[in-house]
Amino acid sequence: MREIREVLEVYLRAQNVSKVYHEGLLFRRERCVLRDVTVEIEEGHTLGLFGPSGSGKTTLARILAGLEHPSSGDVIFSGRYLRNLRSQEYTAFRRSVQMVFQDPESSLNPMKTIGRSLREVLDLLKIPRDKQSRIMMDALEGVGLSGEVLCRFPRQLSGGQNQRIALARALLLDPRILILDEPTASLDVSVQAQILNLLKDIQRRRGIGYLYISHHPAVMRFMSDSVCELHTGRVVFTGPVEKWVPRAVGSLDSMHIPVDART
Amino acid sequence: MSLLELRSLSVTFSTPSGFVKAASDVAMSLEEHETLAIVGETGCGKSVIANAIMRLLPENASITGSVIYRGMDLLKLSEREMARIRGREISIIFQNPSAAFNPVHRILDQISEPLLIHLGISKHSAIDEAEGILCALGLNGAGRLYPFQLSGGMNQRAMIACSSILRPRLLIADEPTKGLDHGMVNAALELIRSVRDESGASLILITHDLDVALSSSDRIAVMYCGEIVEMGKTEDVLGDPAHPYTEALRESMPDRGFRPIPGNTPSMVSPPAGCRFHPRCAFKMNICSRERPPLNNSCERSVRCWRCI
Amino acid sequence: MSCNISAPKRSPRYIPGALIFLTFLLMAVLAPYIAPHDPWKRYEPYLGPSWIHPLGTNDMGNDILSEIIFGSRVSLSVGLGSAIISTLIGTIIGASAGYFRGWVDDMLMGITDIFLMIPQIPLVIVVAAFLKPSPIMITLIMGLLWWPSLARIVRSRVLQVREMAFVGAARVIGFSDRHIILTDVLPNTIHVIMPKFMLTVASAMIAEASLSFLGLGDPNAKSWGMIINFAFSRGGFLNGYWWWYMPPGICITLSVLSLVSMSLLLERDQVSEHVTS
Repeated sequence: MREIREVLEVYLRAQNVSKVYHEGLLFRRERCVLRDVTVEIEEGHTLGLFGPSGSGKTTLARILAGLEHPSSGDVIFSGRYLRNLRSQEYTAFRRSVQMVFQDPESSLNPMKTIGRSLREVLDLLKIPRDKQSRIMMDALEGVGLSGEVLCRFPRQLSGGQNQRIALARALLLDPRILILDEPTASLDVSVQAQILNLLKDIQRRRGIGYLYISHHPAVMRFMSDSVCELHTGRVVFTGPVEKWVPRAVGSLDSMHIPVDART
Repeated sequence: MSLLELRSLSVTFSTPSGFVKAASDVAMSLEEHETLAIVGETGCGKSVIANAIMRLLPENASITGSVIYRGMDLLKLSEREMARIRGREISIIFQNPSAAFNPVHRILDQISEPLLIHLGISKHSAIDEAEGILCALGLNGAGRLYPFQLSGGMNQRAMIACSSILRPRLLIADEPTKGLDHGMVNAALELIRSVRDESGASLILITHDLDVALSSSDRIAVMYCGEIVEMGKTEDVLGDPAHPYTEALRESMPDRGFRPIPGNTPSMVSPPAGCRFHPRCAFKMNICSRERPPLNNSCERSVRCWRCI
Repeated sequence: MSCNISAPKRSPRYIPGALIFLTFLLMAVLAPYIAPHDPWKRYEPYLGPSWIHPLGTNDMGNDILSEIIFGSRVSLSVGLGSAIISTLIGTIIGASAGYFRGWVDDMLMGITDIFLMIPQIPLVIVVAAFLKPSPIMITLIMGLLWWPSLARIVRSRVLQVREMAFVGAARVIGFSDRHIILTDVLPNTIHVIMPKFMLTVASAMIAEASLSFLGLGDPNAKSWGMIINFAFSRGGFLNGYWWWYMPPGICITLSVLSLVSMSLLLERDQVSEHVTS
């Protein structure tokens, strides 16, 4: 595990990834969510993933995070195929690639105090109890919170605070790559500004690679070094952010009516 | 005479953790054919005002002040009189259209329901009229579907159709763009504007997005921690903010480079003494932490700040 | 660093139900200390209520009050025991099916459906009639038969919970499935398990009473149902000895009512919590 971390440059690549869901109870239909997508995230850089809702952004993120398996294609982590990793290497992958989710209401277990949510991660890393408090305080400070939140439950905190804690928790593992699935989409613009600046600050300090998902062009330009735009599961643009012009997706019924309903 | 006037409206919720002062001393007025935007962060009390006007607040809320609609105080009406006003005179577009529809009834039945209840016309002609308004909004044929078969954007259209089918004199849109893709925001606003213009209604637009307010409102009220801190013509207020909070909010917008407001929103149970924004304010003076500034009125602009006296 | 977490406030509407049930529980635990006589000791038969025998004696001369106090042990332990067994099985099967999905789900839910098709009370009667009836046997039979509906409820809730972001986050961090199920998924499922558990206790107690009343119980384990059975078969009903058959009936009714009321309140609180959140 040390080896992968120190010797190689860490990167995460989805190579020709497709994802097909089967749906329907009697008549099985195939729904293709991703078609032949190739993206790569490197340490220290931010890849922005842009697209309207339903374009497959979240599915791609979940595949890259190892939460779902692609129907075809591969996820490659620092030169190794994710599906071939041995258990020790898989642990290294798990530590190195973290994800922050969209919904601040449910990104933390409502039945656990913040302290418990953070402490269980440290227990997993086998950090001795006497050092844990110090590390937790540092982690909270790193995301602009104070120690008094440790005794609170997620519902007693605001959406922005919950999202900061979810971020602090992911950072406890010292990841090299962080997948951010619209972490500010349901927050106020003023809170969004705080979180975005915090994320940039953390990247400067730690050199983490980000995959930043958003449907907002301005957020995309602010956060990303390069952009990948998805449309109905296909990549329609990849390249540096300077050359990127978002496709116009401005109609309320740009999304499909289900096929069987269009009689 | 204004269409709607709020006079020192205060709403307090009693909760296990204390009294939450969701809105304190809110005063504003709305003219005919006018659009007023209420902006502020989550929890600043902007949705509470909408629900107070519609009398849809939960039981643990206590309301003082008055809501004068065309000379009537809505807070003094009986529940039956209020039911006649809701939908027909004042109607609300909720923020989560997919959840605001009942999933087990067809769209068409739900949209024609207000016609049946308020106008008492026959089922047949109600359905006809509902079909007409759906066509006008570009949803031909979608009326026979159930809400879960439509996309979020199409449900939003159907929701707007449902709220405006009785041609109310006052439309309240509560965060109509929240959760929509950035690309769809303008289309949704366009639709609300066209419905407003066609029926000659006034509009209260509640949003946290200053761009939304700028593109579709005549006047704007900025709320912070249950209070109105600045109110005036939208271009004036957003073009040249007088209150430090409005200024800070504008700076955190995408086109201004996401400069955040320092600090966190204060607790609504025990808001800071004096000016409620003073702990986060860059221009804090001694008086700010001691005395609450009044809403100072001068030439169509009201500002609650000691610097503007 | 330690946190003082105050227990969530329960509304006072729980108090009557909880109080009644706790009283019965205490009665069962402390039976040897509060019963005035040994329930098997013989006194003069068919005595009416008196200071020495507050509820009189039965045909064998046993003190009825002592019988009822000791009977609470049998009735409650059959109810609680079978509910604990069925809740454990149902939770494990439902949680595994909902969490792992795929072929695990198909297999476990197939088994559940087969069990759901078995007519339960008749089967209990048949089994109890053929095997030597003892409280442990009845507890086991009911415990092994009554889990399927709970398994289905738990599965559908787990399917919801596993899609929530914090479960995804726990998987990305690398926690084991066991850790995730025990600390993330099940604590968020407890709201649907607890009311169902209480209802199962109540219905197991009723079933045990019915079996005993039908004479399919163990005559050596005098539960409340068995006391009514004795009163019925040995002339208590015919002669109108209300102090013999009324008190055990009241005990069964009260304990079942207290459980059902707590279960309903739990369910309602859960609904209102969901609405506010």
